[in-house]
Amino acid sequence: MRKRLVLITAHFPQLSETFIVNKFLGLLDRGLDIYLVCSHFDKATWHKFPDLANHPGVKQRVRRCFPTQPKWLVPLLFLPALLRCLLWAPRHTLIYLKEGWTQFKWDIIRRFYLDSALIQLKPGILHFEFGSLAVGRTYLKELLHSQLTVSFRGYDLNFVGLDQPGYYDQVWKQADACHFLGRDLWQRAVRRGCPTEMQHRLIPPAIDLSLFQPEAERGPNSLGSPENPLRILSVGRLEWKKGYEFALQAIRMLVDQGTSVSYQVIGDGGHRDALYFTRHQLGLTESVEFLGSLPQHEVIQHLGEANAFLHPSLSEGFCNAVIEAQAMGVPVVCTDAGGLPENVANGVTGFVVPRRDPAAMAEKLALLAGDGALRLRMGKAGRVRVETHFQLDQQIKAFEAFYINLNNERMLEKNK
Amino acid sequence: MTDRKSLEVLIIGYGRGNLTFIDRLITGLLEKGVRLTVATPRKSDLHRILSLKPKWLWTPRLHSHLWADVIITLLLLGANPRLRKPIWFWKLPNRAEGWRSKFKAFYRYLPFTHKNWDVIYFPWNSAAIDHIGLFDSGMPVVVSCRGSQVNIRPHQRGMGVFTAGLTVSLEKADAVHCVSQDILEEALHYGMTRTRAVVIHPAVDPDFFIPADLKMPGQEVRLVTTGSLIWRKGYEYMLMALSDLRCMGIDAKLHIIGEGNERNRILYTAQDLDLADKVILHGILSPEHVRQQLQQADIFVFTSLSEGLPNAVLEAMSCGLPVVTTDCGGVREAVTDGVEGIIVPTREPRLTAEALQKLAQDPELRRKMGSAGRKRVLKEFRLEDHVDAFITLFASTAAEKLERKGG
Repeated sequence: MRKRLVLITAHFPQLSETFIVNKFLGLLDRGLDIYLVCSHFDKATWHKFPDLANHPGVKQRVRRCFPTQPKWLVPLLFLPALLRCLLWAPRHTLIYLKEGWTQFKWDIIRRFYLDSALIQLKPGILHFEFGSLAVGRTYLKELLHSQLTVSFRGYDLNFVGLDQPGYYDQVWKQADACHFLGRDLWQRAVRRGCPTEMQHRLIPPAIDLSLFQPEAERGPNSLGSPENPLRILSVGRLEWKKGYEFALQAIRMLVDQGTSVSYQVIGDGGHRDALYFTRHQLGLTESVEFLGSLPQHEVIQHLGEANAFLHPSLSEGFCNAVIEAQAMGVPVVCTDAGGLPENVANGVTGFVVPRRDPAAMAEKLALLAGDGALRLRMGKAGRVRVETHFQLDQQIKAFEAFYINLNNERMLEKNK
Repeated sequence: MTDRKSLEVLIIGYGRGNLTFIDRLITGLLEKGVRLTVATPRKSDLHRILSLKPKWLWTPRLHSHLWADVIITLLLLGANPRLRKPIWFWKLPNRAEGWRSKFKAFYRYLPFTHKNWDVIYFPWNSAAIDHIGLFDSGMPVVVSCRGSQVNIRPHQRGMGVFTAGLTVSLEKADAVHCVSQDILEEALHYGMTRTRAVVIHPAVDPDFFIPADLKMPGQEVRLVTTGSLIWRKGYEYMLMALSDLRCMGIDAKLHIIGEGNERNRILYTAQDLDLADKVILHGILSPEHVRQQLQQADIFVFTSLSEGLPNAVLEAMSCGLPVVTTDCGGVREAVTDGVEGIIVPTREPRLTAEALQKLAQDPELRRKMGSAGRKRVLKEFRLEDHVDAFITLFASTAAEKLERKGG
């Protein structure tokens, strides 16, 4: 019998976390008994994903945790939460409360309310979609008698809890297996205390190639003159870790060298104020445009028109946006943050430059501006790279194998 | 002319953040006998200056619930049912459109009707914009331009309303106080005229921020900086400079005093540049501890992207520290390159590192620049002069307005 898999995430669905939607739907289509539990459900975004909205039976498989805000709701909803758990999973509820009492005493009541959506699902495997979500909740494994797996996707290992030594110790101890996006994250995990014998798999992100079809033939002409500016595109949330300040400095350098550039940034976020100010301070109001967040089909359209894709990130897991750019045949200039060197083949599908180095970015962009044949060659190589390494169905199969292996190994251990 | 002793000043907008320089100004004014009224929604906002007994005026909280506002208004009118209010007050709701905004105007300005102050002072542009109706009250108004609200906010997205309010408030104000010449030039873009602008530099208390008696030359250079951990302060570039400095073979430790939402960014960057053991985050410290940190340090480093005139630099100079600072806002009005410290361009970590190297290798230069900085603070940035300048500004504004009314 296959175990029931429950994915745990914070916000669902989110445009910047399309990969969770893809994974959830892909595994569901392959016949897994899979549920998703989120703490905040976003109805408006739900309808931006036609796959989700039109999929039969998916609605019942996405559950929301009981709300904690506003506070007066909690005592009102506690009884319904308890009744639902007792009705759907009486044995699990009693075990949870009994074992929880020995561990946490009265605090178990608070925890029970927060976890009730999970308890009533009777999970076989709990999968935290981000490492930071698992911190402080690893006790669930014992109380629910389930297995625990964790995905590490970048920010969780890169900078969450850096000032607290041993932040992930409990996770390393309790997790049955971990999923990392790439080698870089695995190495980071080891540096942060992950035992090397931890069962883990590296599954890079993937995209649905049928959505990303480069249409127009690109010309091999030289760009950078005022009538033919080099069109540079960046896609990513406006956060400090994306390093756009350095990209803007690089654009300034290009403009100073006499290359005409039009730089567009798709995305929105908390660092927007800083970037608007940086654009003003560097005098780039004409050549830089912030487009805000856009739906996927418009992003694809912009990718189709771009001559180069710039990704100035300071901290990155693996980066889907760069995969998408390669799929659309756009040459990439990116930094060596996190998994990006595994993502882009340096010198083949794009250029990898050091982090926080606007001069190097400007140099490579100028190179791309001047050499149309190089742009074409890199674009084509990018498409091939995505086709061979980052296909969605490969990724879903890898995830399926990840969970099946988990069961098998557990069986082997038990038989021994 | 209004007698100085009896000058009555209303301050609106106190209590936005925990800022010592406003406290210092208010303390100074109260000690000089100015009769201050501070308008805040809660009396507890005044806890830091309560011992000096300023008058407190209740004002409604902005952005509260409409029905709560209606009930409070009814209570207020019930407690004091006289409807003899000044004419300017009745004009405001008349001018507003829609009953909601009519009510809002009525509610917001109701507390300001029972008295005439000699001067209304807004320490922030945003406070002035929130109370734009008071500019028509006939009471003289003074507005402060302090930095980011003139430097940064107008350039951000969706700030049309803010910029329009800024322009109206600067056009109508009877006097505008700018913290530096640089800010003054910037404010000229928003309807201010040069004749109404006054530059009063911020100031520090040189008797509190005193140099250390004896400095022990340590093995490694001790750098210090103060400021909130926010993007405007450009800490990333500071850490890059520190990394460059290590490549030049200089061992330095950086002490950062302040708190903010970019703590994670600093921790990550330090880790990423392999500086985790070189950067110490102290969080928010009391003024005594700030002074202690400044006294123990060798160099003050500051890599902000935009400023009015940074108090942090003045405090460091007052403690006799040489400063390495970026050329942001009015810094050049406090520091002369090569005399009290070294000025480098913004977003150039390499040059910051070179300046730090120069100072780190030369204790004699550090001492010279430090004492020059102390001298300059004693000469130009004394708290007493600062308070006097404000009193003069308030008095002359009040007198001018009176004259104009009479004439």
